[in-house]
Amino acid sequence: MKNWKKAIALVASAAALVSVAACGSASSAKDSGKKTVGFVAVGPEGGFRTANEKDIQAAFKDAGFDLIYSPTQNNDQQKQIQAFNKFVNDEVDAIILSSTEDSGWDESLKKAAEAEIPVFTVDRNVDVKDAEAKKAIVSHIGPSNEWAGEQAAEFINKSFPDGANGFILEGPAGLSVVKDRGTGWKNKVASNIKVLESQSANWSTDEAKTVTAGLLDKYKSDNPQFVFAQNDEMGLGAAQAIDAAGLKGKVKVVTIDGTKNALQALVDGDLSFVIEYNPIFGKETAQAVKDHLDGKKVEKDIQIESKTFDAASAKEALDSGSRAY
Amino acid sequence: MADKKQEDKNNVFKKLLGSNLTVEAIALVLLILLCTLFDHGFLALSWNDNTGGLAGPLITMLQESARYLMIATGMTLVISTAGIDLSVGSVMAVAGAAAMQALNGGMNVWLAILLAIVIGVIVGCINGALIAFLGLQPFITTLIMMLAGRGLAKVITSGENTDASAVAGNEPLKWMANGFILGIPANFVIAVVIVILVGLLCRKTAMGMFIESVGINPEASRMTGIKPKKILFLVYAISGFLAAIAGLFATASVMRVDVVKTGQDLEMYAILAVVIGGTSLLGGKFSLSGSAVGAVIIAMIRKTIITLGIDSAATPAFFAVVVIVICVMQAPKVRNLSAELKRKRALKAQAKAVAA
Repeated sequence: MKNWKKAIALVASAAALVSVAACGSASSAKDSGKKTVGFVAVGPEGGFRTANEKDIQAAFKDAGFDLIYSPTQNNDQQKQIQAFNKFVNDEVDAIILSSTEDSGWDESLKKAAEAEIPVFTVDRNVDVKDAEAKKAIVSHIGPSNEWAGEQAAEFINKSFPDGANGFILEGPAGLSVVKDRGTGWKNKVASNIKVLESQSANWSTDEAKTVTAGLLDKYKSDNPQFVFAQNDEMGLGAAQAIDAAGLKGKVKVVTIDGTKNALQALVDGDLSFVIEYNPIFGKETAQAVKDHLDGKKVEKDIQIESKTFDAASAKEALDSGSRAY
Repeated sequence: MADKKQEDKNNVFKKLLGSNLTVEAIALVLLILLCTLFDHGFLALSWNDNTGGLAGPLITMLQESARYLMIATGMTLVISTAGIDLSVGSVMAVAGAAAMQALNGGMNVWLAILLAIVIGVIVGCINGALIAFLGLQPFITTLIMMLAGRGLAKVITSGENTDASAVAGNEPLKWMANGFILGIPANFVIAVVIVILVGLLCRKTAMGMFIESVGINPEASRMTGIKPKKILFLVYAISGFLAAIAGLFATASVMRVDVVKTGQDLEMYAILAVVIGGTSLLGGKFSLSGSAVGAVIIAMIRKTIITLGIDSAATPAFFAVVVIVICVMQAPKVRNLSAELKRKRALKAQAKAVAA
């Protein structure tokens, strides 16, 4: 037993020595030039993500940082955790975390806290239970998913003051976005609005079409009047199923994200309302990181403003040609 | 005379009972019954003037099954040679991405379709060449192609989900996935015709036997004069070709390619359809009709999930349970259960008789 303890103590002290040495080398690197920032990203998966990650990369370059981009594949959290731990071991100056899932980050964040590396979560927030791990997160930057869900509910409330039946198309179960957008909807939806069924269509246009066609068949007698799709891709699929069933104009489709394709569909009358989920916040993120590293105080929750679109404002936005995605 | 007839009948009955297809048909009917119990309008068919075809839950199910039919057919041939093709889902995405991107770039729609198919065949040929001529493991080769294909699709569209629904002149492609022939979904008709053609190619020529013999023993088949390398190359090329058509069905249905989601996990569905269809993963004898019904069953399971309104978190579990039940139904031990019971009863009676 005693030998064990001795061994542990030895290892611990050795580790401490090494880390002290590492700290020394890191700080000398800091003096020499650019600050390095690790970006644990999701990778390109369509309009929003691509626009968002390109913007962040560009903004950090402009701000004079050395950004290391590390995307995962197919929403694999394991790869993200590996990338995160590698950044901690490499002693980068800050880590930007755009996580695929909200839980499971406690251990990694604890390591970052020990190494005193500030972590900024972007887009999706993470759910941390451990107090030690919480210390690592300086700030969360991104638009609010709950707000987006609330806007969808309010539009439906306003459109159907006498109540209506409809469906919700969700993203894959377990993602924080899905939960937050759903919570926002539940917070604001009126009691006379009835959701006949919530089904997952995995963010996919093609699957949403199949699912919506099935739901329209199943609830024919209930006269469904709205579909709340939790992202644009699914909304576009739902609109096509509605069109095929000859119900265009009779069923309102509300989506979240605000990609160009969705705005065009809004102008064409396939969709009824689009809530933007603004992906362009690279500048704000770079500013927050810079402020923190300069020793200034940074707000805990930086909310990025988003817009909502109807057919008219969508046309305006498209005509101005300012949409980046 | 009468006895013999009775015996014949018994034999036919036994054969039917012993066939995999019967078990599959029963599973399909059970699933449809289950859906009808939950939704009394499930079997209802109506005429939709908007699309010019029949409409109803069964019709949308057939529409979805077309892509599974394609990849399951290719997968059957590949598995029969004791190989596996994990890249079909990615090939679907690549072919779909190529077609959508080409359409957006102003290419003629027929050329775009041809381009997608050619790309599918090329990927299949690369798989085939690596496996047949370089002797790489099918699992590893196609696994790499599965990852590379996904990346290639992203490169083709530069990471975007290309939408070609507004491109003028895209009607033929749109019709392929959404149109109707005599009221029946066009994609289902096309898929069935292709499956029949592949079936004829395999069974009316010696092709099918060659494939099976390569799967059972490549060395022995080589000694009898079959060229296993050519056969191997061919099945992967066919699989790529069929996956490209499946990709066209999947993307043309919404005229939009989703670089991450198009064809995602479909290689697993294809393998499931083949296994449900009674083709052994160890290679050898294959059944195209079995795989085809298996593909329809896969589409039906997905329809059942929507009709029953199963919670989205529980859908993979439900899917798994149904597949396991079907596999158990097919297991020789379960299928011979009644015969086994009869034998035991006879033994007991005999023992009693002896004791008496």
